[in-house]
Amino acid sequence: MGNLNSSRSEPLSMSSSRQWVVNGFIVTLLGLIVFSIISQLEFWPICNYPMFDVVQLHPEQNTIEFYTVVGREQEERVWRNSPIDCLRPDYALLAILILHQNGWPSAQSREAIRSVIEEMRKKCETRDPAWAGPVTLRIYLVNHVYPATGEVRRVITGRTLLKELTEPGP
Amino acid sequence: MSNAVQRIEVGWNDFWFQPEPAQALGACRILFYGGLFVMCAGADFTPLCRVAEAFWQPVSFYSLIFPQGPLSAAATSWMQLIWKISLLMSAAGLLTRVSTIVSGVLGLYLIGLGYNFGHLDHAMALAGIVLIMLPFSSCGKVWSLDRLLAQKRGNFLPTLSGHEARWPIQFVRVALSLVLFSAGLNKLRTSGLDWITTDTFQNYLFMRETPIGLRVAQWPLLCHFMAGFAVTTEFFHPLALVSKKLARVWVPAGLAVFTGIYLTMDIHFVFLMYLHFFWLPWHRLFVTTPRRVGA
Repeated sequence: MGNLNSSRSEPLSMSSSRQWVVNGFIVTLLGLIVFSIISQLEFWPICNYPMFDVVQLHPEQNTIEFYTVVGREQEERVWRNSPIDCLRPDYALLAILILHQNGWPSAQSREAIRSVIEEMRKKCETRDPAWAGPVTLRIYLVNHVYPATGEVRRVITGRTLLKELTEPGP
Repeated sequence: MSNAVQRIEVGWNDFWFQPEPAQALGACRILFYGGLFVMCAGADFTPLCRVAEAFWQPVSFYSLIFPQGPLSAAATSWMQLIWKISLLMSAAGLLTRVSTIVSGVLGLYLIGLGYNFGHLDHAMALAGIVLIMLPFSSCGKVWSLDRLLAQKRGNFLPTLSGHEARWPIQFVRVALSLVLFSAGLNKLRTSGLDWITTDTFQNYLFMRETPIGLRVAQWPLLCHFMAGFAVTTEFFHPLALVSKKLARVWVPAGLAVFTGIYLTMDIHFVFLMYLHFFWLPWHRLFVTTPRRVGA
């Protein structure tokens, strides 16, 4: 075993090849983490933890106004800061709509969403524990102010989108 | 070799390979895999496989390996069973090299599966990194069934050196500090000091609507103080790696930030908090029993 009282610069009790493997591993993995922090790119499980980093100037977040969808480009950081529980698919469906639909979702998407939500409702009614509790509908509008540009963007956060999806788009 | 290069090499080795009691790595292995098993024992990932294909938005390695969608529910069901067994085997140190690799590969797939539907979560990301890291370590050489079985068979299993015990523990400490540093840096980079001086934190508390958060939100000065404390703690958390004295300040401060987030915003970084056991002063807990290393 290693001598716990050893001097700081004593030779390592590891073979040269083992040292190369360990040092290479440390440098590679930490390098990827640092790259993610600098570049603000995320490739799970390597993340840069941007949660709640935007300035939030308006406390009245829960005003129900109208349903809208923001585009895909440049909005990623917005939805990533929104309070959506990713482990529940119904929340995620909303995030996908926000992120990946330029405009109102296509008929095919709406049909697919409806079928999934219907399936979830049935499972909730039968008290399937894997789907417990996700069927209330609330759509929120949140104003995120980006100090760099001063631009105010609107983004939807919320719970599920059952009602909105069964109605015609704006 | 020039003096500067030599100094860098000595510093690097001091940081990563200064001897740590070998039992520490065994204890960390048991706590990590055991804790992950307890947390995920009841988890069922198969509902995610039944979500319509239209919602599959693969990220990271999923976009390369599974661009068309996740594996079937039946396959996922088997995978999660094997994963949970491998977590237990890894904790016990049984066939440790194989079981840690299996729990790493399957764990990365299963834990990350939910992040392919539009939202990437951060709470379990560090667990994923530790799942990648531990198979590279020699964590199965101490406090393991592998060692016990080898002794029973009369085989010689080399003991774990203090140098080998140190680097995996130190790696998690660095990664934990980078998590906090990154969160602090992002706040400063995106919002600057406005994140502290404006009503941002107070407004987030109003948004989250937790009983404690709403009480705190009634006190604007307290909100500013908490915002300042959070950003300072996060940004300067790597100082905990510099010395044990600083660690005694910054590690509890980091835990306080996670606890505050949990209480006032109802955001659960439970496993990140749990991983702070890597910061325990292992040399104090085990230093009196050096002869028992690997026993």
